[in-house]
This record gives sequence, C-alpha cells and structure tokens, in this order.
Amino acid sequence: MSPISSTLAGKAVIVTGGGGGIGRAVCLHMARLGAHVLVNDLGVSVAGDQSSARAADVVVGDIVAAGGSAVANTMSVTDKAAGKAMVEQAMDSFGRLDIVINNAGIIRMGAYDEMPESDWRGVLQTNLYGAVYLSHAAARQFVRQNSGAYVHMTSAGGLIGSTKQTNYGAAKLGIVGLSQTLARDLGPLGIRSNCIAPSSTSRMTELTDNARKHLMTPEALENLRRARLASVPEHMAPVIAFLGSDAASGLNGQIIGARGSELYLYGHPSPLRGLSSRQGWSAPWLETNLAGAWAPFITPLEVITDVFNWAPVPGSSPTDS
Amino acid sequence: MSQKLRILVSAAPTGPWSALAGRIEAAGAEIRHLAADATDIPAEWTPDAFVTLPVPHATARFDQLDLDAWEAAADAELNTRFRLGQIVARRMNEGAGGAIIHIIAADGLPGAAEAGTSAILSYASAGLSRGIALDLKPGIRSNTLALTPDAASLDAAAAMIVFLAGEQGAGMTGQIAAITPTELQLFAQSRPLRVAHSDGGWDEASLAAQIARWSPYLPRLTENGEAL
Repeated sequence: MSPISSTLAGKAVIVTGGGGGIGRAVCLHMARLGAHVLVNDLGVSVAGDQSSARAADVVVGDIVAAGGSAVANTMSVTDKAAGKAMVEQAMDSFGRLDIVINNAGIIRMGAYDEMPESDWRGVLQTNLYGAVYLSHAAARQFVRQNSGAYVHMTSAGGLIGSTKQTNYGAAKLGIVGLSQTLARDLGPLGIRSNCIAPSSTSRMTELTDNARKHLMTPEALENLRRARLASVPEHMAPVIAFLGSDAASGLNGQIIGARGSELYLYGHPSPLRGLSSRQGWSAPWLETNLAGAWAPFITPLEVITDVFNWAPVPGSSPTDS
Repeated sequence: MSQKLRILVSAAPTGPWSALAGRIEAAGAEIRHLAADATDIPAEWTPDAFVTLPVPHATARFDQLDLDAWEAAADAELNTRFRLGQIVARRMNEGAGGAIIHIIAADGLPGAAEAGTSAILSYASAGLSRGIALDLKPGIRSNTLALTPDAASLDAAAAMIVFLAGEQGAGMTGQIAAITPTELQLFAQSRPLRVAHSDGGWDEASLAAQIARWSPYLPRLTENGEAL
C-alpha cells in the first residue's frame, strides 16, 4: 500500500492501547509501512465511557480504508486471558506474529501517603501486569519460531522519577525489569526486547503537566510547552516502529527515549561507586565513612523537568514550529 | 550509648529473608515485625526505620514461568510494600520522619538469567522507593538495597540498614545500592547517555544509522552476579 520501503512490510504486530494517542499513531504508521496490525483497545470513548463506535474499530476502519490490513481486539490487558487470546487472534488473522508493542497505560495521580490502594493496583495492573501477560503469551509463540521483537513503553517518570506517581513510577520501572528479562532470557533465541521512553502530548500528559505547573519556574514551564509542541504522537511512531523492525536487529535490552526531533540512549541502573572490604561491614565503619565516600555520586532527587531542562531543537516538520 | 534505633521489619515468617530481622537486632537495633495484613503499628513505638522484604521468587526462563505464581508473588510483594509503607510513612510524618529501606533480590537488579519474577518485582520496588523519596522528602527517606539472602550478606545488609536508619544516613534517599559481604555499590540510575537530533524527523534508515553510531556506547546486560 505504500511506496516506502520498510522491513515491516508483511510483518504482524500487536499494539495494546492502539485506539488513541501514541498507540493509534503507531498502528497507523506501521500499517502504512505494510505491517498487519492487531489493534487492541478496551473500547472506551474519549470521555471514558462506553461509546457506540469503539476506538479500536475506528483505527482498524481507518487502516482498512487506506488499503491496509488490521483487526480489532477490545479485551482489557488486565484480563490474564487477554494475552493468550490476542496472540491466537493474530495467528488466526495474519498467520504470524512478529512484534508486540506493550503500549496500554493509565495514570492515577496522588501523593504516596494519600494514594488509595485501588489507584496503586489499577495502574500496576494495566501498565505492568498487562504487559507481563501479553509478553508471556507472545514469548511462547516467539520461542516456537525463534524470532520476535518486543517494544515496551517505559517513561522518564519511572526512569528518572516523578512526584505523585509512585504507582506509575513503579509500573514503568517494572517494565524495564520485564524488558531486561526478555532480552536476557530470550535474546540467545533470536528474540529482542527494548524499551521506549516517549515524550508526547496527550490527555495523560496534560493531566500531569497541569498538576505540576505550580512547582515549575517560568523558564521550565516554557521549555515544557515547547517540548510538548514538538512531541505529537506522530513523531513517536517511527521510533517505536523501528524498534520492532528488523532494522533494529542490533538492539536488545536497550532503553531508547524520544522527544520531538530528539533521540536518547539511556543508561541502565548499574554500579557506579564501589567500596571493597576484606573483613566485612560494620555499622560504625559505615557511619564514619560511607556518607563522605558516596556523596559525590548520589543521584539527586530530581524529576523529569530537572533532567530534560532544555527545549528540543525544532525540526523541519510544520508541527514543530 | 544513646537510645537504640527502632527498626520495623515487614514480617517474613519463613523463607531465606526471614533471618534478616534477627541480624539487624544483632547489629544493635530494637526490632518489631509488621504483619502483611497489619492496619496500624504500636501506638507507643514510632520506628526510626522500616524495612520491606521481597517474597521468594520462582526461577525459570520467562516463557516457562507460571503466570499464576508470578501474579501471586507480584501481589504479595508489591502490594505489601505499598500498603505497609503507607501505614509507616503516615506515622513517621506525625513524628520526626524516618527511613524506609526496600530490600530487593540481587538476581533481579542488577539481574540474572531466568530470574524474571525477581527482575520485574525488584525494578518495580525501586520505582516505588524513588517515588516515596520524591513525595515525602525531606522528612522521610526511601532507599533500595539489593542482596542475596545468604547469612553473610544478611549480616552485611544489617549493618547497612543501621547506617541508613541513623543520623549519618540522613543524606541518602532515592538511591539504589547493592551489598555483599565484601562489596558495596552505589548505583547510577537511568539517564540519557547520548542525545541526537534530526531536523528532518526520523525514519527507519536514519534511525538505523544513528543506532550504529551509538553502538560503542550501548549498555550491556549484566550476566549472573557479574556487576557485583
């Protein structure tokens, strides 16, 4: 359907949360490059209630109308049976499964000491448990065929830290643990797993931005405004699609970030400042020595806007201006 | 000597982690246990520190993990850390603050083969710890300490916990560390190592070229125990 040459042509992909935001942009982009797309979305409207035209069906309709190949799935990723069902549906519909994109996510903000346990569980179940269920079902298929690729949405909110989001931060760092596991366990079988930390503009980010405006300097707020302007979901889609494609065959177990026209390579959590002892550790020795030895190497209690404290350089696309 | 540190430890009646509380007591602290279903802590006993423990994790290649067992472990470990941490944090907020120390398994972070349950729950626990540190600063500190639950490592961890709970540990919050009987490591956390910009946007070919330029800098996955 497209003159653009891509290694994604003919591949089959599952995208969770594909009905809106980044997920929708990824579905449309990958279909345009010739991939068969299973669009999973729970089927709630923008207002959050049940809508007559479900989000997944709308995206599938758009893809098919443009000459592409797609099927809809409206199961909740939090349903443990959904992972297996989606893999089976992809195999039945397309005869193959090559890529899984764990994108579905929700947000429930609140300071830790005030957060209802239901908000903790809800975010963990959608953003982490859901990704584990689908990854597990897909792993069995990928191991059978000795090929496959995962792309998982992590977030700077988990990698760097974020206030009022212990639930989201735990889920998004947990996703990194999931991705490292898949990369380590299944990499030798020809299966790849990578994370993407996208920065984009959506209802989700508007919510978090509004909640933090009072914490930011005017300069930081302006940087954030420009970053959001540069970061429409359509800019994330090529990066996410690339990570799932054979063109990224050299990447496994990595964390890539994207914001507007910028691309980031993230480090892994890893030992930075070591101390050795032949006779073992005692509390008095640590009390005398450790604070001084470690102070220069402490990771500050910073948040996303402290680390990304510059506005992205505008790109040439009209949406970047 | 000043009054003993009061350290509350999430209850682990059995399993390899259950011995830690006794080792902390041997290191000089006063210990109480907090049951997983606790709704409050003793009124007259505000702790200086709270230690949350992992549950034992099954090991298998990820595709061979039992999903029901994974879910049970995730619920038991993550929800317990969240709920008990909240109870303790609210009490600490009423007093002089305190320290929360999340003990995680070293096969989860930095990582090991066939340790998927441990990795997912350890990383998630580190994310929770970082969030607590950000939300409840400066009164409450929260750190993550990785180790294997053998006797010598538990002794080492006990010394570290006493350090973190005390005045000299006041500068430590939002950190990840790992300890063995002979090694102590402060971790770097994930930050951008390289930044690239493309004013024409990105496509498959330009992304592949950029990744190739970055290939000397790609972090390597740690193998079993390698990082320590």
